[in-house]
Amino acid sequence: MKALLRLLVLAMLLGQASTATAQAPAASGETAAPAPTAQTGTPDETALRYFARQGDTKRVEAEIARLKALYPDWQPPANLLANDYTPDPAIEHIWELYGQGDFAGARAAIAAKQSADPAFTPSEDLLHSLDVGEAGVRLRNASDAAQYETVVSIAAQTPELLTCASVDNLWRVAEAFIKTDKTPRGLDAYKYILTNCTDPQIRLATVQKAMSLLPRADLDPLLALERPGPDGAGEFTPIRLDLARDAIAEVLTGKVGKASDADVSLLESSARQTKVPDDLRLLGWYALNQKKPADGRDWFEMATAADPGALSAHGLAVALLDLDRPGEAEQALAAYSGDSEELTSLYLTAASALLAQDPRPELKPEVLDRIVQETMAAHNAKAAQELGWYAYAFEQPQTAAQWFKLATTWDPQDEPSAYGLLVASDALKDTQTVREIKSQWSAKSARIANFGQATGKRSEITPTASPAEAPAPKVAVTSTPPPASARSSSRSCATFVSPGSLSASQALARGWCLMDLERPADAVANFARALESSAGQVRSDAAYGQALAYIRLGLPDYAMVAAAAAPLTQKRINELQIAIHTKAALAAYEIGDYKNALRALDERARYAPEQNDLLTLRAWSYYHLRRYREAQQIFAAVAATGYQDAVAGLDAAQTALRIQSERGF
Amino acid sequence: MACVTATGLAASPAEPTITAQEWQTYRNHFVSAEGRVVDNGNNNLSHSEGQGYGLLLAVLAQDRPTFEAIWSFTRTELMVRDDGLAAWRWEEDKSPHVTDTNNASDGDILIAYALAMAGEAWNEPEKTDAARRIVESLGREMLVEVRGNMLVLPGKDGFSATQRPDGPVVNPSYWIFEAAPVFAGLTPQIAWARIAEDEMKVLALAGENAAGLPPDWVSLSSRKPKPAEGFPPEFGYNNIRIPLYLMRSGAGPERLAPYIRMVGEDGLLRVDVTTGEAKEHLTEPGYRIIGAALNCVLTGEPVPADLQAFSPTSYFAATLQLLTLDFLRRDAPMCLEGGTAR
Repeated sequence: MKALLRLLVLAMLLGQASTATAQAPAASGETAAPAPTAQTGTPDETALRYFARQGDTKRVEAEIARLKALYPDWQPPANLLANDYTPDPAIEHIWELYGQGDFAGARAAIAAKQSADPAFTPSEDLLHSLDVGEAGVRLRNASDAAQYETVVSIAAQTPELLTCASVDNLWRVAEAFIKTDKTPRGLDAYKYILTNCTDPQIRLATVQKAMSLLPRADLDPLLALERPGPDGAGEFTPIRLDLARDAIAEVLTGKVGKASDADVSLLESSARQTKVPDDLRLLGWYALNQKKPADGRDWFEMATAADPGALSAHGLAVALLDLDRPGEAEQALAAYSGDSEELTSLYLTAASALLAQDPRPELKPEVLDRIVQETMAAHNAKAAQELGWYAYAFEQPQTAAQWFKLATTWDPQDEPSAYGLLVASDALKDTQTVREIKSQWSAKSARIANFGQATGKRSEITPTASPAEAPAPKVAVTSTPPPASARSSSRSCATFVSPGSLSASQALARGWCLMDLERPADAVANFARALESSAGQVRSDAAYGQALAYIRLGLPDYAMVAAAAAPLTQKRINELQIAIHTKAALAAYEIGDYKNALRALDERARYAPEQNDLLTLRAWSYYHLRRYREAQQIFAAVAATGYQDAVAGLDAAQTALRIQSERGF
Repeated sequence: MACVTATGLAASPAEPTITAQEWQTYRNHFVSAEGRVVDNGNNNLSHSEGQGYGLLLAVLAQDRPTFEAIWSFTRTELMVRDDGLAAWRWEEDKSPHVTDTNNASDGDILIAYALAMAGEAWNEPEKTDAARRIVESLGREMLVEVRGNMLVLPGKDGFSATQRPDGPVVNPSYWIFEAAPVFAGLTPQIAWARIAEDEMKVLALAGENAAGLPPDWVSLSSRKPKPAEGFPPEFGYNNIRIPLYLMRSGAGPERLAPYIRMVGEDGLLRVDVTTGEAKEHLTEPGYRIIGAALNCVLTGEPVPADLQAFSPTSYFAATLQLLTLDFLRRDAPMCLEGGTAR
């Protein structure tokens, strides 16, 4: 058997071993040619008897094995301690040095004995043992020094180094083959071990060694040599799990796109059973990688149960964000936000997403409070911006403006925050800030540039440049009367005062006062005086007031000009446009200009939906233009709401249609 | 060396030229039981040079057991390189012990030279074979031709023209001229005699400077040799060996004469080759005896008696002292007579 193993080793070194030969040593039988190093003659039993007298049973066994390998027919003496053997103390000393691994000392002792006794010839056995011992040291040193050709060459010359008892040598030879691009021969070496060596630890370690040096595909033939362990399970189960972990980790590092189903389900069933947190989290990340956030959440929940802490919370939060459940994500991370920069950033992402939800959630004060705390601590512009929109949505423009201001301080380049500040400032009539933002941003942001201009298109206020990133908050744009503050200075204005004698703000106040007294013509003159103000807000209010005054005077065209005299908020622009087009429609209708009446209504419809009165006006316009069918449809719809004025119109339209059809139109 | 055998190797004299007592002292100081030659002046590390010197001195002392131990250590611990040469540095407290796998050609030359001598002296063909394999590797791996001169590089990695801008860089003290005829006998296919001559030529050229002495590390990138970058521009601990090697190789007075410049009043001089100024006086007996031997060979003045007595200080000086004594006893015994203590 020993001779056969040597042959296999030689075949392996020559690159001729195959799985077949390695797996079926018996097929070759014991009739193989004698091993090249087999000795003839009588073995040198000095060492054996020396170790026996020392009571060193381990070395006795090793020595018996060694001698049997060299002399297959030799049988150890029955009584190693018999007195019929008189050893030479000098030779015993040499064997002692050999046994201690002091090969240099043994060499020196042999030479010393030769010098003292020229007739002395060391036994072949002793010299060969020393050669093998030194070759083993040299092989390991060469391997440590990454001199792999030397490793292979020593192994080829000293096959007795390559045994299950010195498996480290076999491992080093395998590594040397692999490192010199002879992977198949390296695999042969591993196969040799897995075919011939029985120690379970060695077998497991062998596959682990191979794992560290070979790609996964090369490991399969080695895993195929698995034997059942004592518990009936495959002896390589732990390794297969390691491989599955590696395979999944490779996906996560982006090296490959997907792990094999076998690897995934192996780790899954193991993780479910063992609840090893790292495995649970690995599977969680893998699920997220594979775009299965619900699975990911489940794994991270299991991980949290097994190991509550930042690592589990981190994964769980990412999964919840993927599932668009920012509230739960915020909750999961609340305790760990400060643990690391990464967690802080993730927390604020969750918080931002939570604030931006549509419809806006009403957050509990403690939640809002901690979001505010973390945002302030981190100086996070995105979260501040979301807090701004959140405040804005709950009609707290003052608070909103403060948050937006903070956001632009923390990140002066953030357009969405600047836009938020613009919107909030506009709502607060802070024309100074509005103008500053416009002058600073108009070149870079179209929506900021266009803000407040009557483009004819309904201007939508969206908090971010990309609505896909965060849903737009619902910011109602409704026609409202001028803010109370603008009229707070209202006082009696019945007596005439020359507008030129008033300050701009006095003239503005007097203008509103006159509007209240339904004296729009006088109001126009006072608003004109206020328009001379250097204060942007005053001019804006004045332009607005003047436009309203012209509308009341039935001069919509003048109103348009007046409105352009100073920048107005989008809200006021909308308001004026609606009023102007309403007036224009009524004026046109009154003079029988139905086409222009319809045109004005169409213009107005871009700013606000028509209520029943204007719908009825529209329907009568169609009627007068003999577009009875359209008139009938609108009258019918409005009449259905119970609007009495439309019922007569519906009758008229239906009659006209009937006459038309009778006449064969 | 009167008697030269067929291999070109000087036959060992009947009596060792290093006495048993001297050698015993050296071993006690510098050779461990495991056959490791310890450089006590250099953090107790070991190197291929030291192993080579140890082997050479063991042969000269005719100590087979110690030779066997040193060779076993050298072979198993240092002779691991794929090209058959020795890794040059070994440190006891490091794992792995080999901390630089580059070779140093002086170590390889000394090991091969000592093995060849041992193979011849003790009639051990396997040692001669081991020597031949190293010499073949040296011929295959370490030779470089520079402007028509064949030279041995100091190490496999880091000295050639492709590996450094001022390369090739050589260390003339790595050229152990006495080994050339032995190597020629082992590997006749390699022109070791010509190599030694070329090296002598470059050695002379390298000494054409303010100091009249070659720097330890010589750049040969231009026609005129100059001190190599990154090394002190000095004739120092390396090159003080050159006159010893020249004497041991039987070089004539015209080749030895320049080195009298390194001999100061109270020792050998470490010299800045750019200025010719002495930087240090090396006063250990092992260094001073080289100057004394050189002086004797050139002028006939005997070597002082105190230098003839071996009292080791550092590994390097002690080694050089024994090699000088070996030379004097073998080839210049008249220098040892009439010496008086200074």
